[in-house]
Amino acid sequence: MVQPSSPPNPGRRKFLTNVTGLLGAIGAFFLAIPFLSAFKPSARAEAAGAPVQVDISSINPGEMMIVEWRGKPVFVVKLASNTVKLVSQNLSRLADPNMEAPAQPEYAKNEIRSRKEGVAIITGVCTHLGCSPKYYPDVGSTDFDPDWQGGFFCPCHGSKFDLLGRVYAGVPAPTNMEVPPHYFAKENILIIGSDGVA
Amino acid sequence: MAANEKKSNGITGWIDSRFPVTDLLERHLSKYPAPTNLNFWYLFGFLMIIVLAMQILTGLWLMMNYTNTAEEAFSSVEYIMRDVEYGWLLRYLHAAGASAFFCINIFTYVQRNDVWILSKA
Repeated sequence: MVQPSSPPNPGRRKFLTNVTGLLGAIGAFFLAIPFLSAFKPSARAEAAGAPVQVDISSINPGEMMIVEWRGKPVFVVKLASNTVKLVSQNLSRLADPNMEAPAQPEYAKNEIRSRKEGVAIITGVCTHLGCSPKYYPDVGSTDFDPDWQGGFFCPCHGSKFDLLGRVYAGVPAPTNMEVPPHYFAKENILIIGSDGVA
Repeated sequence: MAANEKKSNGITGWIDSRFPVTDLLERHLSKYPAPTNLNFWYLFGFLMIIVLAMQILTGLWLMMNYTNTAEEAFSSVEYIMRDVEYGWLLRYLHAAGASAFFCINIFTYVQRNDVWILSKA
């Protein structure tokens, strides 16, 4: 193999090599932008995860409305006026009454577990194996609990939650049902899926 | 192999002592003896390598979102064009690259070489 003779002007050769390399690196950087951006969530995925808006004015006290958000049911409950009292009398039967587990946003880590007094917003998925618990608001003796204080009962394996979605002690479900991010855009307009302006 | 008794060290040296990659690159690319009568038209050979690399890359990326069934192919292309970030650019690059390949190949590069080859015959 014939060895190429060294360039007549090594300084110029080095300069040209460096400039070529630099321009190539800049080009590669800009070329990488569309290829990496293509990995971001597509517009369709963004739309599927978008917040939903609910008008809660049609719900009567004590009633529940089920809203779909990200393919999951979200329970929106207008609590009856005696609920806060009922719930506070029942704390001793709960596994995590002070909501230490991060199952709710910081602003919902309060005794009403919500941003608004009298409205409970709970992701309606049992934390045991993902069934959707049923709403049993009436106080009294039921098939599954002789001293029921109102709440949610999961028919799959018998997990029990209070009216704010907090789990009872001694049932299969390990943690409280989750409270999704939410805020009120107007008095009766609830937005689920966004923290809103803090 | 006296050629890989190189003074390259560090990671390159570690690799070179096991597989002479620096030697290989120099022998076939950076220190490959080129004829002195190369002219402008030989650039199209290099251009073809660039286009080939682009076709492979954009093709891979399009494959990530394309569905190859009769029922869903059309809507998956719509999805690439409208919803995937820069999906329109990847698809147009792929389409333009296919044409560029053909043009460079047929109209300049190969023809140039064919004329050269024929002149030797």
